[in-house]
Order: sequence, then structure tokens, then C-alpha cells
Amino acid sequence: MAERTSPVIELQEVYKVFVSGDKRDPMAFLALKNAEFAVDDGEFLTIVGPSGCGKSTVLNLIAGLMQPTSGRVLFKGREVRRINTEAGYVTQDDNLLQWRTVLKNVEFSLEVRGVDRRERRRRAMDHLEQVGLAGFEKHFLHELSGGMRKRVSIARTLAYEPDVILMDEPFGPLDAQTRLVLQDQLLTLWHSGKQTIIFITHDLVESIVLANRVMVMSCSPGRIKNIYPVPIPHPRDAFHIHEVAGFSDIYERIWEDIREEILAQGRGLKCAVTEKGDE
Amino acid sequence: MNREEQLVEVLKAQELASYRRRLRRRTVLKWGLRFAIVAGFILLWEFGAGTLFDDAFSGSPSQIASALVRLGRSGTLAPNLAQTVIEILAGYSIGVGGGIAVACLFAFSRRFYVIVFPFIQAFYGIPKVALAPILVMWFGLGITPKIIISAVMSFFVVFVNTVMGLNAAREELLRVARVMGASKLQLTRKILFPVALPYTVTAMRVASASAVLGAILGEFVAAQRGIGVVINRASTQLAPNVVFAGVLILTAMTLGLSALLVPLERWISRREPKR
Repeated sequence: MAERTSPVIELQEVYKVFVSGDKRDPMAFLALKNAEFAVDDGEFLTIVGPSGCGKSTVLNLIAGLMQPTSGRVLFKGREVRRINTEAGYVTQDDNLLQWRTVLKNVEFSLEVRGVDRRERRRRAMDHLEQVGLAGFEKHFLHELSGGMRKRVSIARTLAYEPDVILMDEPFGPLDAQTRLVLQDQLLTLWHSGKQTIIFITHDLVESIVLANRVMVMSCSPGRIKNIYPVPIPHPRDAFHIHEVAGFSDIYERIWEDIREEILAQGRGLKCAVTEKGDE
Repeated sequence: MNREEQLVEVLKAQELASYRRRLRRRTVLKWGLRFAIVAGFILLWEFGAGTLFDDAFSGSPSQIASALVRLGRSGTLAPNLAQTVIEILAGYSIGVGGGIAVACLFAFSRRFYVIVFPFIQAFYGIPKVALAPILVMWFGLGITPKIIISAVMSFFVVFVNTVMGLNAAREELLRVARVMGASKLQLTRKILFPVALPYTVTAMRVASASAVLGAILGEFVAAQRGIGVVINRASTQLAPNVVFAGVLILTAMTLGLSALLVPLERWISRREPKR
């Protein structure tokens, strides 16, 4: 399906083994088994699957935070060998700096990249406005709601204009309404910027609303089970996705697939919990 | 076993081997460099003494070693060492114990905390060096003033940090526990303590140096026995090697004291992710 000419991201027969446990008696554990997929330029791919099935490992590999045990991870056709600074990385925690104002938080990514003061300010303001936080530049984080903080964190990532944004359950800790608003906003941002986005979530509806394709992963060891194209045209309306033709159909199909995984997990074929721990 | 399973086994073995290799290389490098730094320093000192700098003031490692041996043989080391060790151990335990105890009192009663804290802060501001002569005046040349100074100096480090640690528990967590029915005592014991423990242990490490400092300070002011006396006497006689020998002994004491904390620190570090 995604076999077009030049994907931005490509995993080829990727295996990842983690070593964990005691120094004297380390244990090897297979986190990712024969992962293979490609993501096209400008595509929005979501990843769903039980916790501990290697979803985050996939992102960490693309971000260059770890190396595969075997196989290749390609970014724009080149193998990822060190930290991939062409990507943006957004996690569940907002990872903002408590001691800085909102504006200074957004500027952080630009500071790190050596953008000069005025340009920094201009771009930070610009992106704050894009996420609907104009007027909050001088605020400190404790004065903001969870959703606003998340938007600051997204603005910080967008500010340096990475072509690819990796998002690891970014809306996980937020309440349902806020999530909807942010999903809608993320879709708008994606439409205007056309970045490539890989987005991990536990929320099946979220995965469908956002994605061109939904990738389902399975557990023990982490494998890619299926990839489903979402046959709903863009632009989408996050608030009324349930009413769109084709939604319930794709939802049922993916849910059936994941349900098997969750049941398998429940039967005791449990996943290792070291997804985030090692290295 | 099919092809893929074989591959996975190979990959696992590979990754384990490379992990062990990395671990070994890191260990060798670590100890090698440490050894090199110490050896380099000693060699520079040894061969620099008398050539790069005047050994009448610098002393040299070999002369320090022989000064140590001489101190031991002549019988001056043992009584002085014993005196200082007792001072430090007593001062340290009283200081640490008192610091934790008073901090807990504070944790238990917010009102007490609010009332008394300014006084503690003011007392903290007093330069302890200035207190030493008064204590000698009150308690004489014996062991008591040294223990008090040593205790006071280690007390504050532990106290201040433990108070910080006790305040570090998240309010939300405390609220949840309170609703569960936890009493004040239970909150203190089961939540505040564990949260504060890492702070306290870090402070105990710092306090081990403060305790030694306090004891030596006391000995410098006025004393009949102790490593501080040995050092003081040697410096008036312009005998750098003996001074350094004394310093070496004191350093060993501080390190020994903080080495006692290693098991505790290891136990605490279980809760944190490995780095």
C-alpha cells in the first residue's frame, strides 16, 4: 500500500533486543520482532497496541535514541545512526521547564539550535498563536491547564519546524474534551504544515480520527500485526467523527484485531514491562 | 526451531555479549583512569619535591609515609587517633540523630515548625568557629566541647535537608492517604519518612565531613590529645610531612564515615531508574 517511491521513514526487518536485570546476571528480551513498515512524506500514521508491545521502541529507533539489534532504520533514505535532530519528539509528559515562562519554553528548542534572539521571539510568538496561546507568553506553567501546557509543548516542537514529528501518547493524561480540542487542532496544524507525524495512542477513536493509516502492534514479542488505511477523507472533524460514513466499519475491524491482543495478554501471555526502562 | 527463532536466539546472545563487553570495558577504563590519576599525582609530588618546589614546605609522599610509620611506632598515634575517633563518632551520631529527630518534630507539628524555625535559622547563621572558644571555656580541655562542636556542625546539615525532604511529599498524595484514614503518625512514618530519606542520606554524607571538621576545630582551639593537636604541633615545628600525615588520617576518617552509608544508599537507589 505504502510502496511509493521514497518514504521518509522506513524500517527494514528491525529486531530490537534489550538487556535488563542484574549486572551479574543480565537477561536478554526481544522487544521488537521483524518490524517492517514505511511512512510517506506528509503522512499521519498512528500506532495502537497493548502497552509494552514496543510502540515506544519504534519511536526511539526513529529518533535515533537507540540502535536496532539487527535490521535498518532509514530516515529520508539514510540510516539513522545518531540522535535524529531532524525529527521532533513529543512525549506523554509535557517536559516543560518550570522555571521559564511560556514564551521562553517555546524558545528553548530554538535556543538549542542557535537561532538568534529576534528570530527566536518571532517564531515562538508565531507558533504560540497557531496553538491558540497568544496572550499567555508571560505566564508561568503552573498558571496553565494541562491542555494548555500540552499546547506549549507542541508549539515548542513545531517552532523548529521538523519534517517529522514523533508523538508518544501526547494526549494520554488529558481529559476527554481537551483531547478532542487538541486532536482537532493537531489536524489543522498538520493540514497547514504537512509534516509527517507518527503518533502512538491507546485511544482507538483518536487513532482513526487522526490517521491516514493505523498500525496495530501485538505483544510478546512486539510485532507489527496489521496496517489499516483509514478510508475517511480529510479534512476531518474530530468532534463529529462518529457520524462519518465508514467510521464504525473501520473501528470494528481494528477493535476486533486489538481485542485479540488484549485477550491474549489477559490469558497470561503477558508483555514484558521494560519498554521504557533500559538503555 | 524455525529460522526466525534461531535468528532471535542469535540476536539475543549477540546483544548479551556486547552488553557484557561494554560493561567490562567501562570497568577497566574506570579503574585504570582512577589509578592513573592517583599515581600521576603522587609521582608529580614525589619528584617535584625538592626540584619544582621546596620540599621543606611541600613535603613528599615518601616522607609522609615514613612520618606516618614513625607516628605509629613512637606510640603518639594511637592515643591521639583514639581521642579523635571517639569525638567524631560521638559528635556525628548525636548530630545526625538530633537532626533527624528535630526535623521529625517539625514534620509532625506544623505549628511548632512555624514558631521555632526562625530561631533555628538564626542559630544556623552563627559561625560555629566562634562558638568553639566559649565551649572550651564552659567545658574545659576535655572531650566534651569537641563532641558538641562536631555534633552541632553535623546537626544542621542533616536537619535542614531532612526538613526539606519532609516537605517534598506531594500534597495530593498526602490528601489521598488522609482520606484513606491515615493518622498523622502514619503519614509521617509511611509517607514523609520514605520521601525524605534520600535527602537525609545525602545530608549524612555531607555531615560526615562536617563532623570531622567540628572535632578538629575543637582540638585546634584547645586540647591535650587528638589528630588536630598533632597537626597543630607539627605546623608550628614546620614539619609538613607530619601535617600531611594528619590530614591523610582525617581524610580517611571522613571517607570511612561516609562509606558506612553505602549500603543505605544502595538500598535507596533501588527505587530509582539506573543511570
